[in-house]
This record gives sequence, structure tokens and C-alpha cells, in this order.
Amino acid sequence: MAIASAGREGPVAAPRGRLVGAVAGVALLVAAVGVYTQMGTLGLSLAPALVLLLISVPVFLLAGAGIRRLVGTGEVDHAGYPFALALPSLAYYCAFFLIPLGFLILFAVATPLGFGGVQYGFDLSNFRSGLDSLYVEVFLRTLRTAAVGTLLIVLVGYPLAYWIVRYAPENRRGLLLALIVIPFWTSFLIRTYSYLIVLSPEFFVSDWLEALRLTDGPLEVLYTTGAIQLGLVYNYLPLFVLPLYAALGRMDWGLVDAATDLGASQWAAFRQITLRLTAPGLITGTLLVFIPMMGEYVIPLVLGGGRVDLIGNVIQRLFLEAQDYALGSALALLVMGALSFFVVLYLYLSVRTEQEYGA
Amino acid sequence: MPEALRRAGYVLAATAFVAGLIAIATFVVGLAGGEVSVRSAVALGLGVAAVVLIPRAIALPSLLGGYAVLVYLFLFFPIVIVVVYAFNSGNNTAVFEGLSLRWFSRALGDETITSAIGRSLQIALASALIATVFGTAAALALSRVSRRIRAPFDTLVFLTLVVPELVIAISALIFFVNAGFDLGLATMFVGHTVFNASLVLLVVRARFASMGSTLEEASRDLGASALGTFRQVTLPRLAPAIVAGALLSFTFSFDDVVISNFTAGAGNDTWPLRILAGLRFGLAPDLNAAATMMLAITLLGLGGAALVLRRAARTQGEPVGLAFTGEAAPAPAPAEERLSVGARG
Repeated sequence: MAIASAGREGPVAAPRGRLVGAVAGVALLVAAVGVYTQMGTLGLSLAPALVLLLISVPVFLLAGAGIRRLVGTGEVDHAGYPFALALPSLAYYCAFFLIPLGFLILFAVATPLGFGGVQYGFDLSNFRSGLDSLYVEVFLRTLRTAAVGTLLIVLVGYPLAYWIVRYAPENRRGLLLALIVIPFWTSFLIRTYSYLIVLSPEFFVSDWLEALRLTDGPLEVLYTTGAIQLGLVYNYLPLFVLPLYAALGRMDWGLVDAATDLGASQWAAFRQITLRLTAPGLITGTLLVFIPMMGEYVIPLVLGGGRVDLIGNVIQRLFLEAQDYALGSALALLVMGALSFFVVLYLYLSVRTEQEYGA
Repeated sequence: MPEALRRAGYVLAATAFVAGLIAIATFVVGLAGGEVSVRSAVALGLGVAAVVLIPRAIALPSLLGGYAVLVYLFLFFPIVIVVVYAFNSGNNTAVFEGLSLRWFSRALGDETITSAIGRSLQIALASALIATVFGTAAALALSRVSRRIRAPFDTLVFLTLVVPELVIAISALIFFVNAGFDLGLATMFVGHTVFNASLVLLVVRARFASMGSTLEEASRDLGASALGTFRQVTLPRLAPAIVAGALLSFTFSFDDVVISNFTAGAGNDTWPLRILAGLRFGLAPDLNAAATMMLAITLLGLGGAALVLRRAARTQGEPVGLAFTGEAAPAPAPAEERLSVGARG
């Protein structure tokens, strides 16, 4: 993080000068983090907070230039921009991302005193309560819902992306991709609650299904796991299609044609060539949808109507209603741990499969 | 029109195929649960027939095309319904009775809705501004430093993007409460900006990395200052990526439910929080009307940005899409690059 060593191949300063520069840079960073985290005690509202953050950029630049002159590293690399430009973000991440995560861990091992207060210490009882069968059951339901949701998204999204890349008219591809992105740009909450209308037993879809004898009575999907599942697929589909589209776009279709010319069936060519070459995009896409689904609480809140909980709902209520920050933090860490385990396992398995087939 | 008719046929065939798959899946699930009826068995037979016969009768590209139409319908049907039902004259949100604008005037007259939209706009503008400045600055500084310095920073940025939002939100809440912040607009703004700064950083850096540093070096060699080089060389070429990043940030912040829900405090509902609070008492038509207005504004903004970007792409020969795919924009072909340099001077 040393400012002095930031120039790519800049003139090398004396080792002592570099050390002084590095120390000064770190001191500057710590000072900025200190100021950022004290914004609350200064009682800053939106506009002053905005100004404070904005002026930190030139302050960092000037301080960086000052330090450079002080330790005498002289001219920086011509093409490069000074490393001091990265410091505002770094200080920001430290103050409002890393330190809060530290608080989360601190609270997870603290003893709860009620109403959000805790006694700091090292107490594992929160984790013990977090592993209660009640929470484990909700967690397993969440895992199942997210896994099924991811599978459904792959089934819906893969053929779509495949069609756009391979068969859609070339001059329409941009438009077709934009049409997938546009729903993603409309409010997440509006997209979710639209299903309150669509799945309503009084809506015409319900009448039509009944008239076609596909259901026995009015539609009874709302406020069930099915509705949540549908909401998850609907909301996260674009997030899966985009990386997959990029992966399919890089495909060399000549390989597939060569395979079928040499007698492979369409299906075999797809399985052995297309699927394997697009595996990286497929993996990125599934992780992009699976991870947020595991923490989702808004969709179950809206479409489950409070009757079906996922683990996110439990955590949300622990914080906003029960004010049991300690148990909530422990539960969140347990979910994160399980999630990292699954993600690492998944990545390991998919990478191993890829190596096995030499893709 | 036989062509249109044939396409409709493909869509129908795709519908039958998907219905067949659903029938089979339903039967299998029912079988696992021990529920088998004559009806589900008949559905299974029809389903298997559809799944086996349709791909034989219709070529794959046409069938996939029909299927794509279905998916687009799936994507747009609910949104269109929200818009259409905003013009519904009746009180029931699920039954259309006739055209009316009464819910629009009701929504505009509801102080809780308008003030919530105002708060959302303030937060989103502030967050987009800071995220764009911080993210762009970091992208410039980081793009050409050594790997040893960049790797830890990249890890940090990656973490801000992959840690579930719920976890970020609860740690922010704990932090704000313990660091003496008053929950409100400022805390929501600070919370949103963590994710947004990373977003801008990625978008801008992808673009900056694909640009190469030749022009910057030339500019500095010819005696321009660092600031002058940034203003006259780097900024114009980065503009599309910066605009895209700012837009993404604005939309993310404007839409955000999770971080806002935890860091809003009492009486500071943003627009999404106002919807969420409204939904507790069931769906209301005035929410549809307000949502429709927001949708119109979003689409206008998006359309405008798309036009600006397209124009920039045409004059500079370096396309940057609004679609954020998490990957670097394709590097311009060398010929194009030379052309754009030539056009510039």
C-alpha cells in the first residue's frame, strides 16, 4: 500500500525513503478511516457527509504528492496515475465494509444483553443456539429452494442464451439481450410484487387455468413455497443469462459442425463440446444466482406472505424485531460458512470435472 | 400471412413441449409423494408424447425460437400487468374494471409516497456521485500498478460484491449503531456506496485496461500535466464506461431494499421501503400507479443513456454496452483503434 512504491517502474527511491513513504501513506489511510468512522459522532446528515467524502479525494492527492516530495522519490511514471487515487476507496472499504464485518464477528461471540446491547467477550452460546434444529430446518429449506431455483434458471436460461447466440438474426442480438436486461433494470420490488397480481386467485390467469381443467379451483399458489420459487427464478434469470451469453458468444461453432460432420449426434456434440466450452460461464452464472438466493428475504416476505420463511427472514426478524443482534450475527456467520463450503466444493468439483475431460 | 402463422405455430409447439416437460415433472414429483391419479397419468402420457414427437416434427432452431418467445413473455408479462392495472378504475388490484387515472392522482397526492420517492432520489444521486468518483479514481490508480499491490485490493473489491447483501446490511447496522450514527439518509447512502464503488471500479477498469496507455504516455511526453492528460485524453475515452457505472449505481441505490431496510431507522422510508410497508396491508392500486411512473422514468433515463453511449460508440469506434456481464468490454480491433486515433488528431 506504499504510495512511494506505487509508480510502476518509477525511479527507485532510497530504501529508507521508501519506508518513510510507506509509513506516511499508511498513517494517512488510518487518519482517513478515523475521520470516516467518526462521521456519526459529528452528526453529519446526507449533504455534509457527501461533501466530506468528496473533498477527501483532493486531500489524498495533495498529501500523496507532499509525501512523495518529502521522501524525494522525484518524478513518477509518466503514464501512470498516482496511487493516492486508490486511497479514498480503500479508506472507504476499511471504514464501512471491513470494520462493520469485524463488528459482526465481535457480536457473534458476545453475550447478548437484550435490545441490541451485548457484553463483549468470547461466548459460543450464540452459535449453539444457531444450530438449533428449528434454524437448521429453515436453513435446509433455504438450501433446497435456492438449489431448485438455480436448476430451474439453468433450464430456462441456457436454451434462451443458446438460441440468441446461435440462431437469432445477428442484427437483432443486441436488442434481444437488452430485452433481458430491461426487466433487470426495473425495480426489483415491483417485479416481485407483480406476481401478487399474476398469481392472485381473482386474476384471469387463474380463471383460464381452471377453465382448461388444469387446476381444480382458483389458483392457490400465492403464499406457498411454489410462489417463492417462481419469484426467485423470475428475478434472478437475467443475472444468469448475461455471463452465459458472453461464454456462448466466444464459442467456435465450427467445432460443433466438425463433430456432427464426423458423425456425432447433435446431442453428443452439445454435451461434449458446447457444454464443456461454456462451463466457465455456466459456473459463474449459477454462482451469481445461487449466492444471493441463499440470503434472500424480500421475495419470501412478499410472495410467502410471512407464512413460509427462508433463513434470511429469520435473520431479518432477529435484527429488526427481536433485536437479538448477537444470535442474528452468529446465524449469519453460520450461513456464510456453509455457503463458502458449498461454493468451494462446487468450484472444486466443476474444475476437477473439467480437468478430467481435458476441456 | 403464412410466415407469421408459422411462427405462431412454433410458439405453440414450444408451449406444448414445455407443458409436456412440466406434466412429466409433476408426475415424477407426485410419484415420489405417493400421489398418482388417473388425471396425472393421462397428463404424463400426453406430456411424453409432446416431448418425444415435437422435436421430431420441428427443427431445433425454430423450436428454440418459439421457446425464446415464451421466455420473453414470462419476463415481460408481470411488468406489463402492473402497468396496465395502474390504469384500472376499480379498487381490486386483480380485476380490471375500466380505464382511469384516479390512482395516479391518488399516488401523487399521497405525501408518504412522494416524500419517499424524494428520499430515494437524494440517496441514489449522492451514492452514484461518490461511487463514480471513488470507483473511477481507484480504477485509474490500480490499472497499471504491480500485481503485488493490486491483488489484495482486488480481493477486497470482489468480497464487497459477493458477500450476500443481507450480511453487509446487518454488519452495517451493528456498526452504525455502535459508532454513534443516527440512522437515516446518510447511513443508507453510506451503505449503498460500498457496493456501488466496486461496481463502478470494475466497469471503468475493464474499459481502461482495454484502452492501453499509449495515448496517455504521448500526452505526458508532449508536456501535458497529469490533470490535463486526464481531462483531455483519458476522460473522453472513459466517458461511456463512467456513465454506465454511474447509471448502474444510481439504479442499484434507487432500487435497494435490503441495506435500506436495515439502516433507514424510523420515519425515513425510501420508495422501495414505502412499497414494502404498503404490501403489509395487501396490494394497493396507488402503488401500481406510482410504480408505473417510476418505471417510465427509469426507462426514459435508460433510453437516453443508451443513445448517448451509442453515439459515443459510433464516434469513437469503441462499444460499451449497458449490459453488465462482469467481463471486460471486447477490446477494439486494431484497425478501429487506429482509425479512432486518426480521427482525433
